[in-house]
Amino acid sequence: MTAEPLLKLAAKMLAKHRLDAVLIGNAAAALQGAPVTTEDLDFLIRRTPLNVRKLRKMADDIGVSLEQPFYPASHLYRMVKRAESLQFDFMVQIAGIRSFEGLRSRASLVEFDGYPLRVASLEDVIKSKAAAGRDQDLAVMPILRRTVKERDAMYRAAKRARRHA
Amino acid sequence: MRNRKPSVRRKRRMGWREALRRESDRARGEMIRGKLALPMAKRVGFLRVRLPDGSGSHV
Repeated sequence: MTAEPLLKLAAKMLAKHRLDAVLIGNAAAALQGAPVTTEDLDFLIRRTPLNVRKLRKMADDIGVSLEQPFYPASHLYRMVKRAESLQFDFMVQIAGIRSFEGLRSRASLVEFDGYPLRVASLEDVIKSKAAAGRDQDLAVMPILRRTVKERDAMYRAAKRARRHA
Repeated sequence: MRNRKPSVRRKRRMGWREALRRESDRARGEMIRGKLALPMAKRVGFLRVRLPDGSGSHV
Protein backbone atom coordinates (compact mmCIF):
# COMPACT_ATOMS: atom_id res chain seq x y z
CA MET A 1 0.00 0.00 0.00
CA THR A 2 1.24 3.51 -0.74
CA ALA A 3 2.46 5.54 2.21
CA GLU A 4 2.14 8.77 0.24
CA PRO A 5 -0.96 10.15 2.06
CA LEU A 6 0.67 9.50 5.44
CA LEU A 7 3.98 11.02 4.35
CA LYS A 8 2.14 14.10 3.05
CA LEU A 9 0.20 14.39 6.30
CA ALA A 10 3.33 13.96 8.42
CA ALA A 11 5.31 16.50 6.38
CA LYS A 12 2.43 19.01 6.52
CA MET A 13 1.87 18.58 10.27
CA LEU A 14 5.57 18.79 11.13
CA ALA A 15 5.86 22.01 9.11
CA LYS A 16 2.65 23.47 10.56
CA HIS A 17 3.71 22.79 14.15
CA ARG A 18 7.38 23.62 13.47
CA LEU A 19 8.47 20.29 14.89
CA ASP A 20 11.99 19.36 13.88
CA ALA A 21 11.91 15.60 13.23
CA VAL A 22 13.84 13.06 11.16
CA LEU A 23 12.15 10.01 9.63
CA ILE A 24 14.01 6.88 10.73
CA GLY A 25 13.55 3.09 10.59
CA ASN A 26 12.24 1.02 7.71
CA ALA A 27 10.20 3.90 6.27
CA ALA A 28 13.42 5.93 5.92
CA ALA A 29 15.21 2.90 4.45
CA ALA A 30 12.40 2.39 1.93
CA LEU A 31 12.54 6.05 0.85
CA GLN A 32 16.31 5.64 0.48
CA GLY A 33 15.62 2.79 -1.98
CA ALA A 34 15.63 -0.38 0.13
CA PRO A 35 12.86 -2.88 -0.70
CA VAL A 36 11.54 -3.17 2.87
CA THR A 37 8.09 -2.64 4.37
CA THR A 38 6.71 -1.26 7.62
CA GLU A 39 3.43 -0.59 9.42
CA ASP A 40 4.37 2.78 10.88
CA LEU A 41 6.41 5.93 10.40
CA ASP A 42 9.10 6.41 13.04
CA PHE A 43 10.61 9.80 13.81
CA LEU A 44 13.42 11.01 16.01
CA ILE A 45 12.91 14.34 17.76
CA ARG A 46 14.82 16.35 20.38
CA ARG A 47 13.69 15.67 23.91
CA THR A 48 12.36 19.04 25.04
CA PRO A 49 9.16 20.02 26.87
CA LEU A 50 8.33 22.32 23.94
CA ASN A 51 8.50 19.42 21.49
CA VAL A 52 6.15 17.35 23.66
CA ARG A 53 3.69 20.26 23.64
CA LYS A 54 4.03 20.47 19.86
CA LEU A 55 3.33 16.72 19.63
CA ARG A 56 0.13 17.14 21.68
CA LYS A 57 -1.05 19.96 19.41
CA MET A 58 -0.18 17.92 16.34
CA ALA A 59 -2.16 14.93 17.68
CA ASP A 60 -5.16 17.22 18.34
CA ASP A 61 -4.88 18.55 14.82
CA ILE A 62 -4.87 15.04 13.31
CA GLY A 63 -7.70 13.99 15.64
CA VAL A 64 -5.88 11.29 17.57
CA SER A 65 -4.64 10.95 21.11
CA LEU A 66 -0.98 11.00 22.01
CA GLU A 67 -0.03 7.79 23.81
CA GLN A 68 3.08 6.76 25.68
CA PRO A 69 2.78 2.95 25.39
CA PHE A 70 6.04 2.01 27.11
CA TYR A 71 6.29 4.81 29.67
CA PRO A 72 8.36 5.02 31.88
CA ALA A 73 10.63 2.41 30.26
CA SER A 74 10.83 4.41 27.07
CA HIS A 75 9.97 7.96 26.00
CA LEU A 76 8.06 6.89 22.93
CA TYR A 77 5.13 9.03 21.81
CA ARG A 78 2.59 7.33 19.55
CA MET A 79 -0.28 8.58 17.40
CA VAL A 80 -2.61 5.87 16.05
CA LYS A 81 -5.64 5.97 13.78
CA ARG A 82 -6.29 2.36 12.80
CA ALA A 83 -8.99 3.12 10.19
CA GLU A 84 -6.46 5.07 8.13
CA SER A 85 -3.50 2.76 8.89
CA LEU A 86 -1.88 5.73 10.58
CA GLN A 87 0.77 5.10 13.19
CA PHE A 88 3.36 7.76 13.88
CA ASP A 89 5.97 6.93 16.52
CA PHE A 90 8.15 9.72 17.90
CA MET A 91 11.31 8.75 19.75
CA VAL A 92 13.71 10.94 21.65
CA GLN A 93 16.58 8.48 21.41
CA ILE A 94 17.49 5.43 19.36
CA ALA A 95 20.24 2.86 19.65
CA GLY A 96 23.45 3.60 17.74
CA ILE A 97 22.75 7.29 17.15
CA ARG A 98 24.62 9.70 19.42
CA SER A 99 22.94 12.96 18.58
CA PHE A 100 19.87 14.27 16.87
CA GLU A 101 21.99 16.99 15.22
CA GLY A 102 24.34 14.44 13.64
CA LEU A 103 21.46 12.37 12.29
CA ARG A 104 19.75 15.51 10.99
CA SER A 105 22.88 16.77 9.23
CA ARG A 106 23.28 13.47 7.34
CA ALA A 107 19.57 13.20 6.45
CA SER A 108 18.08 13.85 2.99
CA LEU A 109 15.37 16.40 2.43
CA VAL A 110 12.34 15.23 0.42
CA GLU A 111 9.26 17.27 -0.41
CA PHE A 112 5.73 15.94 -0.11
CA ASP A 113 3.03 18.33 -1.29
CA GLY A 114 5.55 21.14 -1.01
CA TYR A 115 6.38 20.36 2.64
CA PRO A 116 9.90 19.19 3.49
CA LEU A 117 10.52 15.90 5.26
CA ARG A 118 13.92 14.90 6.59
CA VAL A 119 14.80 11.25 5.91
CA ALA A 120 17.64 9.55 7.78
CA SER A 121 20.53 8.25 5.68
CA LEU A 122 20.69 4.53 4.95
CA GLU A 123 23.98 4.35 6.86
CA ASP A 124 22.29 5.76 9.98
CA VAL A 125 19.35 3.35 9.65
CA ILE A 126 21.82 0.45 9.40
CA LYS A 127 23.79 1.74 12.39
CA SER A 128 20.69 2.04 14.56
CA LYS A 129 19.33 -1.35 13.55
CA ALA A 130 22.68 -3.05 14.20
CA ALA A 131 22.81 -1.44 17.65
CA ALA A 132 19.18 -2.31 18.47
CA GLY A 133 19.83 -5.94 17.48
CA ARG A 134 16.20 -7.10 17.59
CA ASP A 135 15.25 -10.02 15.35
CA GLN A 136 13.22 -7.78 13.03
CA ASP A 137 16.16 -5.37 12.74
CA LEU A 138 18.73 -8.06 11.99
CA ALA A 139 16.41 -9.70 9.43
CA VAL A 140 16.54 -6.65 7.12
CA MET A 141 20.28 -5.96 7.50
CA PRO A 142 21.42 -7.94 4.40
CA ILE A 143 18.93 -6.10 2.18
CA LEU A 144 19.92 -2.70 3.61
CA ARG A 145 23.64 -3.42 3.09
CA ARG A 146 22.93 -4.63 -0.44
CA THR A 147 21.04 -1.38 -1.13
CA VAL A 148 24.07 0.67 -0.01
CA LYS A 149 26.27 -1.43 -2.32
CA GLU A 150 23.93 -1.00 -5.30
CA ARG A 151 23.53 2.75 -4.63
CA ASP A 152 27.30 3.26 -4.43
CA ALA A 153 27.81 1.27 -7.63
CA MET A 154 25.20 3.45 -9.38
CA TYR A 155 26.92 6.63 -8.14
CA ARG A 156 30.31 5.38 -9.38
CA ALA A 157 28.85 4.44 -12.78
CA ALA A 158 27.18 7.87 -13.12
CA LYS A 159 30.44 9.58 -12.16
CA ARG A 160 32.38 7.55 -14.74
CA ALA A 161 29.80 8.36 -17.41
CA ARG A 162 30.03 12.10 -16.61
CA ARG A 163 33.83 11.97 -16.83
CA HIS A 164 33.71 10.29 -20.25
CA ALA A 165 31.03 12.64 -21.60
CA MET B 1 36.94 -41.85 7.54
CA ARG B 2 35.98 -42.50 3.93
CA ASN B 3 35.99 -39.47 1.68
CA ARG B 4 33.04 -40.16 -0.60
CA LYS B 5 32.65 -38.26 -3.84
CA PRO B 6 29.27 -36.51 -4.19
CA SER B 7 26.83 -38.56 -6.21
CA VAL B 8 25.51 -37.34 -9.57
CA ARG B 9 22.13 -36.60 -7.96
CA ARG B 10 23.76 -34.63 -5.16
CA LYS B 11 25.89 -32.67 -7.65
CA ARG B 12 22.80 -31.88 -9.69
CA ARG B 13 20.93 -30.75 -6.56
CA MET B 14 23.85 -28.52 -5.58
CA GLY B 15 23.84 -27.03 -9.08
CA TRP B 16 20.13 -26.26 -8.86
CA ARG B 17 20.58 -24.69 -5.45
CA GLU B 18 23.42 -22.51 -6.70
CA ALA B 19 21.40 -21.47 -9.77
CA LEU B 20 18.45 -20.57 -7.52
CA ARG B 21 20.70 -18.55 -5.21
CA ARG B 22 22.18 -16.64 -8.16
CA GLU B 23 18.77 -15.99 -9.69
CA SER B 24 17.38 -14.75 -6.35
CA ASP B 25 20.45 -12.52 -5.92
CA ARG B 26 20.06 -11.11 -9.43
CA ALA B 27 16.34 -10.44 -8.92
CA ARG B 28 17.03 -8.67 -5.60
CA GLY B 29 19.66 -6.46 -7.22
CA GLU B 30 17.27 -5.61 -10.03
CA MET B 31 14.53 -4.72 -7.55
CA ILE B 32 16.87 -2.40 -5.63
CA ARG B 33 18.17 -0.75 -8.81
CA GLY B 34 14.56 -0.21 -9.93
CA LYS B 35 13.77 1.55 -6.63
CA LEU B 36 16.95 3.62 -6.77
CA ALA B 37 16.08 4.76 -10.30
CA LEU B 38 12.91 6.44 -8.95
CA PRO B 39 12.99 9.86 -7.28
CA MET B 40 12.81 9.59 -3.48
CA ALA B 41 9.29 10.98 -3.28
CA LYS B 42 8.07 8.11 -5.50
CA ARG B 43 9.49 5.28 -3.39
CA VAL B 44 6.34 5.17 -1.32
CA GLY B 45 4.93 1.66 -1.78
CA PHE B 46 6.21 0.32 1.53
CA LEU B 47 3.26 0.44 3.90
CA ARG B 48 2.05 -2.82 5.41
CA VAL B 49 -1.52 -2.76 6.65
CA ARG B 50 -2.41 -4.42 9.94
CA LEU B 51 -5.41 -6.69 9.43
CA PRO B 52 -8.11 -7.16 12.10
CA ASP B 53 -6.85 -10.68 12.91
CA GLY B 54 -3.45 -9.23 13.81
CA SER B 55 -1.61 -10.29 10.67
CA GLY B 56 -0.03 -7.96 8.13
CA SER B 57 -0.70 -7.33 4.47
CA HIS B 58 0.91 -5.41 1.63
CA VAL B 59 -2.51 -4.54 0.10
